[in-house]
Amino acid sequence: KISRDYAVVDHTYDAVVVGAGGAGLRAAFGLVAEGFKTAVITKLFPTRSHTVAAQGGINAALGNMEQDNWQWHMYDTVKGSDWLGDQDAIHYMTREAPKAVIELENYAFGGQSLKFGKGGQAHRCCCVADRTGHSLLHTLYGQSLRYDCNYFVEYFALDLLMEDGECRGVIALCLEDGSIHRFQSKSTVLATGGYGRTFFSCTSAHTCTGDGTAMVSRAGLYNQDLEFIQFHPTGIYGAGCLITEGCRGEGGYLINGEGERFMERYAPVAKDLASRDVVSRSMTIEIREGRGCGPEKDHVFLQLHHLPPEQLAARLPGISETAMIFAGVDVTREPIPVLPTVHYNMGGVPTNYRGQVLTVSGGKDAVVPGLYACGEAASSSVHGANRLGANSLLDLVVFGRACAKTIAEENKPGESIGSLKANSGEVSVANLDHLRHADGPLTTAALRLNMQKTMQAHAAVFRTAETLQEGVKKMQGLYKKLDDLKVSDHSLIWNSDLVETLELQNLMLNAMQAIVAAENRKESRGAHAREDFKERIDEYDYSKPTQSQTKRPYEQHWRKHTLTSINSKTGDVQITFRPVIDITLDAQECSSVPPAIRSY
Amino acid sequence: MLKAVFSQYRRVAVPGVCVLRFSSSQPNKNEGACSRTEKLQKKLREKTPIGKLDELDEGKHPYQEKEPLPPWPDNTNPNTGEVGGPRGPEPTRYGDWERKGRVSDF
Repeated sequence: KISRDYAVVDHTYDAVVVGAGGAGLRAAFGLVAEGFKTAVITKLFPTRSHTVAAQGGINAALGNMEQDNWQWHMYDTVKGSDWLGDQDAIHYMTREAPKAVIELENYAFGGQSLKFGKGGQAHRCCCVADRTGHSLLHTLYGQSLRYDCNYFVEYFALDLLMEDGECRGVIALCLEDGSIHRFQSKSTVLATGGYGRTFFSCTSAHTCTGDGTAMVSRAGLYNQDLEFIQFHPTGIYGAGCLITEGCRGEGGYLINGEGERFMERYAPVAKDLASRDVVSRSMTIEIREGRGCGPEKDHVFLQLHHLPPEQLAARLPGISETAMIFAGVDVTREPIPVLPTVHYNMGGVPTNYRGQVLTVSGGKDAVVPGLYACGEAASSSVHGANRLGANSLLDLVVFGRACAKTIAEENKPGESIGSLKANSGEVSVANLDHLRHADGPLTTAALRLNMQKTMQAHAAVFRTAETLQEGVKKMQGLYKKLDDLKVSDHSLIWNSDLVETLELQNLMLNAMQAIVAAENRKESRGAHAREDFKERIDEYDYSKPTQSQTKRPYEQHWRKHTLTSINSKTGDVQITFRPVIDITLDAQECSSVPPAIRSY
Repeated sequence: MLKAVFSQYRRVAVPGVCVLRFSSSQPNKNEGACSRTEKLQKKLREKTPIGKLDELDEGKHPYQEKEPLPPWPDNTNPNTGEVGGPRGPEPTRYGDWERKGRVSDF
């Protein structure tokens, strides 16, 4: 007979950080450096977090290669976000960028020599050979160990402990022995990463399951802009590894199941060199219309074998190795199976530029006391509707540091924490117990695959009213199926079946909110591109001079953040909105960028 | 009792490391122990595949890169003057961060 008793251990800390990726570690070591007794709860060993996969660089206008100015970086980021980014947060991030990168360099980020590469048109991207993320994580982990940071590795955070609208801690499951741990703390920082695994094809690790955003939803708070998901057209089918657009630049092309070079129909002039979103949408349309490749006709092929092998080896060295490892094909003889792949989530927990989590009360932004968020899990929102390359790692370090600084400004180490009820966290334990004994017809893996395929088919690059509405209906059906799950392993020691089921609950919450928000937003902005509403709908039509126009009321335009909340029992999503912050922190230092049509 | 403990220590002695000097009233047993360890070491050295457990040369490990990118002379990229930068062609030449055809950011 399986015992239904759970051992609960209580801990008290000044600050708790959930997640030990780039942002979490930066926040943790910032906090311990200020003297706070900090706990870091992570379901993975810190150096195994998904930040390690970042090979590209960090953007910072250091101006060491040429004249550069952080205000130009600020402008590029605002434009990249399609004017959905909060300009005060962008001002803060780009201003702090050079300091943050130099600080990292001084922590022996990459060693003694210079590590700067080039990025975009401005030489702004700093890197460490091609292991920037790896190096960042190891540096930050090492620094946090110098100070006294308490790590709780392989502890799965279940829920936030909220009392009177304040966050007073976290409840977590120890994976090693199944004990429940309640961490009572004055400040909680969420740095749990994105929710790439809601889609079938994504570059994220299997552990990117949106745990933080789901915890916030279950606490009754809002998530922001979850419909903005960044796609890349050519990701290897199955593996999720991205293939560079340079393959098409060097003469490769995409073919469908009939062997036709289909891009000629969608972009007669540019063909395969059309912009990323055009290529992604064309690929998706081909797949939807049944001309895909493979047994399920759910991907297309990228053909390179018509190019001379010497040219491939000279222009794209190493691509045959990549194709062999990830796709199992010989690139000189067979085409590579590809499909549009999710890479980054711009949305997340809404915060201000100081990292404090926001909610809406009385129509205005209100800070949730005791709760902070940073990294991909947060939406501050510096990325707005689309993220610029190399801004993600910068976002991690700047806002990780911002959370630590804000906590140090607002609190003192050793301060008393508000009380927690004796049975606080009972709901989470009840859910855990319920899942552990779940005995329905459906396995976790089957339901998860179903959800991923539905999201890929309906909420990916090609979004129209029909596909989105159909997707919403299907997702609602799948949400109900969470009650039919079966967990085969009933033990509490390293129960990966149970943890995957908890992660599936989190993924479902994120997926429902993302698809409902996407269906609701009737415009195209940044990464959210709809075939039926191709234009951006702002308060003015910025393609014409604004003096002669009447301003559209707030309810009728879409230059606003989507806030979604979800009822975790029924899966019903409520949507409200929040205005974009256009004023910068200091108009003298950096003027606000007025909206304009985004064209590159 | 003392003997039993001492003989335990002898059993766990690592070849090459002399047994701990134990304060007992039997000094000649220590010398005997050291020469016995030496004999054991010699016997083991004859059988150990020395040299076969050294670091594998580049290219010989089955999980190593099959097509490693050639390093820059002096670890300095001749085109950009970068020291300690990524090997191979410029990673941002197609507008994304690419290495060996794999993109990690764009």
